[in-house]
Amino acid sequence: MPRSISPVRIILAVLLILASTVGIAVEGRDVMRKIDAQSNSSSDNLQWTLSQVDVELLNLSISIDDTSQDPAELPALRTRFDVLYSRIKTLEAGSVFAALRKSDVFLGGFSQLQTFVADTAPVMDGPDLGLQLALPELKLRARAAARLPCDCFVRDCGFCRPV
Amino acid sequence: MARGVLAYMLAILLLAAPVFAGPLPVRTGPVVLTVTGLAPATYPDGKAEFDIAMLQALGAAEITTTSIWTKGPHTFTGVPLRKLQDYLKIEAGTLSLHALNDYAVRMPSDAAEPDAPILAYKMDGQVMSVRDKGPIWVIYPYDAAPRYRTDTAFSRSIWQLDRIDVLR
Repeated sequence: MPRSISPVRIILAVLLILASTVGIAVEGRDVMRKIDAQSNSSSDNLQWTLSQVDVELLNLSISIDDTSQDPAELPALRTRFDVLYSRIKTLEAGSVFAALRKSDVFLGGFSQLQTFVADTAPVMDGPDLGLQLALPELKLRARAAARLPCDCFVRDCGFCRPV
Repeated sequence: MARGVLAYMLAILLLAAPVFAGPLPVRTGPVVLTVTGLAPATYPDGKAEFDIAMLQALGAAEITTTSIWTKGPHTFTGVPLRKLQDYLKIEAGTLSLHALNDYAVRMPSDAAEPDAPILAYKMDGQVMSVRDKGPIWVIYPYDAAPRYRTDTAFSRSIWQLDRIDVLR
């Protein structure tokens, strides 16, 4: 007749299994984190970068509105524009975006952003009064630029999986 | 262009090495970097503000490297983050690095190596404007070793850096 196993032993065995499972999970996660941290990467997050273009265009539009109300916001407006300018230059020059730049679909929208930035830079670099007077037109142009479907033209390029 | 063919250069040149031990020197130029969360006993309000000259005085290093965000190799000049931490006596905690566009990234304070990354304030000898990713760009010697070409290193390569919060 088989001996019955005491409930205490069963509980201890279950606890041991649970502790081992948790330990393996924690260790595994730590290993994955280390592998991820050390894995060689030749790419930046393309989708994130392009969504930032949208964000920075919207920030510029908001800053134009703020400056229309309060000229003291002129330095902040110039900084917002410079941040967008830098982003566009990164997309133009970055090796990580080389494949993207070969896409006509991408370039169709991107060239309009480049034109907007190139046309706006002299106004931003000019005297305060000239910039203030140009704000209404800049507002319209920034909003038009913000409507360019960055994420869509990238998706159409096949660089991103459809969301 | 094959990486092996390209003569990647990592030139860490100590151009000037004086490190101040006492209070911050007098700032004469515009603030390019603000560090907060410092020991209030040493820094009023726990804050230190730096202009370019103050960063240069900590000791400049140069890194010549390509990057995934630029075209061709460039030479970056700046102060090693480790050196800034040593100067400010940041010995533990987490660094929260913030950019002008509100991008932020955190890194352990012990993650900086002696020579990498640097807080670059010049690219090819020119002070970087915001349009050129200034006032400060965190640069690693990407060409020098695979560990500098990881997602972690890329995410910490924050440009338009203007503030570091020390979280304890």
